[in-house]
Amino acid sequence: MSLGRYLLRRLALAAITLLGVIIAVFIMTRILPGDPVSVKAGQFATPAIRAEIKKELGLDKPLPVQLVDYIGNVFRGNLGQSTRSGQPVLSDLAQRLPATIELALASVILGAGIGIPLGIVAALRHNTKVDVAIQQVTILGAAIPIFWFGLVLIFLFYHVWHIAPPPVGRLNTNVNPPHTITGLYTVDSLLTGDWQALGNALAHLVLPAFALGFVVMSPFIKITRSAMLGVMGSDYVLAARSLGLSDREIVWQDALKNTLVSILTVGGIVLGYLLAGNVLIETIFSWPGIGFYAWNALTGSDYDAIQGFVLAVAIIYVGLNLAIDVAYSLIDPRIRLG
Amino acid sequence: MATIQPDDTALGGLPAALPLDDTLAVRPIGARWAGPLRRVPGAGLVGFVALGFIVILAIIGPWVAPYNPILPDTNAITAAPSTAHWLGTDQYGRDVLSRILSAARLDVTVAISITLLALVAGALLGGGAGYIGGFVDDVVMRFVDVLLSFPAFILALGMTAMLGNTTRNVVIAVAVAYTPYFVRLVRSEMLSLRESEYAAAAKTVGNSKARIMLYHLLPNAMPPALVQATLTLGWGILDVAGLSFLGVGIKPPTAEWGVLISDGAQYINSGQWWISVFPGIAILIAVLGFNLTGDWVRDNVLKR
Amino acid sequence: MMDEATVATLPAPNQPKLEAPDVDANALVRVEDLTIAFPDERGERYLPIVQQVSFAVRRNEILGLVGESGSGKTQTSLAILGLTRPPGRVLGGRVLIEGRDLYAMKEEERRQIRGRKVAMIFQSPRTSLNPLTSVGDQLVRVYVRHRGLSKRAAREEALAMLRKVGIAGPERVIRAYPHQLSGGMAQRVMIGMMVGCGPELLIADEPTTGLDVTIQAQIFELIQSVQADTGMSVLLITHDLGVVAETCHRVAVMQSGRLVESAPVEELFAHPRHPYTIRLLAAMLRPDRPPVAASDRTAAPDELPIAANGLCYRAVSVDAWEAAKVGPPAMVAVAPDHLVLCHPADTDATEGGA
Repeated sequence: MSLGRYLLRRLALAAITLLGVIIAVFIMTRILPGDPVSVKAGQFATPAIRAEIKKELGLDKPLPVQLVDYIGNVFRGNLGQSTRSGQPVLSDLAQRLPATIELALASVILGAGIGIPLGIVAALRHNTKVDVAIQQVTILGAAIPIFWFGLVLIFLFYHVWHIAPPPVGRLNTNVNPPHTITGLYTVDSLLTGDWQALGNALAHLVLPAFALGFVVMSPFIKITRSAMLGVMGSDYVLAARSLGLSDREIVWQDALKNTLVSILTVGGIVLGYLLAGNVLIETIFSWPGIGFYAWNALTGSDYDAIQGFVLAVAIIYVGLNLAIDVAYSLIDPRIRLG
Repeated sequence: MATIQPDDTALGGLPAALPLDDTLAVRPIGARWAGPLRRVPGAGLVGFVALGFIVILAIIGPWVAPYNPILPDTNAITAAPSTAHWLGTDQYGRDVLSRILSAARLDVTVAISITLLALVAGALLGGGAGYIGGFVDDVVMRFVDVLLSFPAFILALGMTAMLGNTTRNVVIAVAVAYTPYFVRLVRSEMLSLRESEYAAAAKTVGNSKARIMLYHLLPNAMPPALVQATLTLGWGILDVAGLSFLGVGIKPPTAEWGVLISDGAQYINSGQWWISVFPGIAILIAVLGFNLTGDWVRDNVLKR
Repeated sequence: MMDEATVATLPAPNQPKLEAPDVDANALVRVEDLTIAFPDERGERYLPIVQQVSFAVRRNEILGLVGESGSGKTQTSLAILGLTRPPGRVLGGRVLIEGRDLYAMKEEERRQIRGRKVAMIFQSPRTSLNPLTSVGDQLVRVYVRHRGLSKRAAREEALAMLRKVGIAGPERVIRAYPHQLSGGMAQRVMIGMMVGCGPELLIADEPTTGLDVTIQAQIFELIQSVQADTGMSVLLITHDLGVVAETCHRVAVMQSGRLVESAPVEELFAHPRHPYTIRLLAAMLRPDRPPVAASDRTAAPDELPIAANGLCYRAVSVDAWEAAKVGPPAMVAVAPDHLVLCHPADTDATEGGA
């Protein structure tokens, strides 16, 4: 099928899935054992006030109508209101998103930046001690609880060795954030030449990014190693060898390109790890992103915020997976040209 | 006319097999020598030992624990590891070792329950969808797609936040999050099995459709799902611990490894590291045990 | 992980080889006693895949290497380029390319030979090209490297070469990706890529697998015409005797890792000697002979030939075998340039003569 039609189909599927996601979240919100009316009304409200509140919350309407209302609200960007901040959930999330993006990007850069070369080395030296060691790292990364790892890092690097700054937030309290361009402190301070902020922001970023990056590293190593092994054993590498090309030339000219394309396929998995681990790591490091927000919402029974968070994450997940699919189909000429 | 069996020497020159020996006086040629592809040697053994250790702890833990895991002891608050308390005590004076042992049983049973639940649900849904096809299949697959649009942990998080965090709800929530993987695997096997001659034969003998699906085809559709099950055992422990750590999983004072870690989180910075570190090591050993054993089973038993 | 050790040839069979004198001494490529082995499943022992194979490819000839799948033909051809894929290893023997011992060289020297002196085309041409790079880019890269051309000159060369191998519309093919080519076109591209470097020997490993019969014929014609034009030699690996009859000058037959017979084409077809060759030929239906009865065509896998009086052989009974005190097999010349693998016998204990 042609590329255009393929992309349209993916888009349509994603849209339908998103609709399903919204419905799923709605179902989740309505299976509350608690009673949102009571929560809002308090203990001493009269039945009349309760009825008022019920109407205000839209809970007096039949369920299907509530669903349609909810969908409409979501499309208008109304994800409810946080009981803690008093702000619309959407703006709460939007305010905190840059911090999460910064952490996620740093983790991916670390995880891929270390994982991909390790995977290549493991493939080129496969079945040697180096390969075995790298595989052991992968095994460890897949078994380690990420929140515990973050705590251990804090203990070692902050408490014992005094290298890392206090694990609270993105900057020391006495350092001002740089002028906002992207919302990413590291990028912004770089762009504005605010070196003090840059140094401090990086210092705060290292530990959480490393904790998250270590877990994310495992799928990168695995896919790079197996893709590389597949490529090096392939027919076209054999043909290239038969032409007298050295292994080094083959790796740089052919193998890397083909391997890197395969790495895109784990993008979805990595994304899943990031979104999940994000909540845990942000909580531990008090990193003011959407994950920390979610944890606060959980402990504070801020139901609108919780639902809004889950919905937002799902939308991000679906959207980015779609983007990865599109990128892959654009890179691989077998799909692009049909 | 009798045929002659060429034995090793009759063919002359080389015996049929030479020992695989580095001292053979020949030069390796071309690319680097690479033996048969092996995983990390001994990984299976490590996995077995780790898993056995954890399972034994899970079974005998509460009886062997030196102290009561729930009763506080105001005389020994946040005591460092010593001969009295091998792994130290937490902020209520509870013995960390006893808490870990008590949690072992809970975590292991929870992980197994989650896996079983997801496996059974996935097998029935996937098998049914694959076998019946048509509208039912479409509905099930759309349902699965929606579930898969959430990262599993976030989905479980949302569900336990809404349902309330009892152990039962946690198990259900995580199982629901894992079920889609099993549904897909079983369904895909069922789709091809459905067309097989085996199925046709069963039908001609007069079995009802349900019987065919359940007793004849489903067992054959299971192997990839079983492979997946070896993975979800480890994931289950990690996810439940994570949820509990955040406060939406299993509630304190119940001893669960994630709860233990969260108990000790605030003390990490003041130097009382043992409250959080040891439970994490327990999780590590358990997940390693499940993962490595699962890998070994995958490579040696399930490869059909 | 292996230490470099000097080559030690394994014990040679204790019968002298009776080769056709002189012709092979200056052969382009000589394979002597080549033995290739792979470790068994558990990695404990080596199992020989190719055993003490010796033959030569002469200049300006097309030599066919025939055998069923599993006979070791492909492994032999890979070994000629030094490309035996691990975990397989060359355990013994030599490969002499224009007199130089391939396995005594350093890897860089071997790489000089690959592509320039000896080139290879494979069974599956479409997968022999990188799927993510355009055909033109790959051709250009090869020409730049091996002929030292600039990119632009290489591109011109590529277009010219594509025309020469019979591709119409080479501009389109240059921009295309491998998966967009048909099997026949891809093989032409491969031929153009390999031949464009001017090798002395082209190894063609079953180059028409999976192609239409008409396309097959075209490819073989192409190979023949290139060979005639450039005078390069071709080692044509195939299981199809019909192709051999039409294309090759000489033939070598392999069975179960051993070379069992080699001869000029007409001689082999007219006077096959080794039981395996005989059955192979019999399996071909030929219009000038009556079809061979099925019972005669089924091969007893364990029959071994004996040379009585040093020249002829026949499969014998177990008792006769034992009585004849046979030695290890060796190539025996039964006619000029016609070698057969036999077991030389001490006594004449066979049933009947040649």
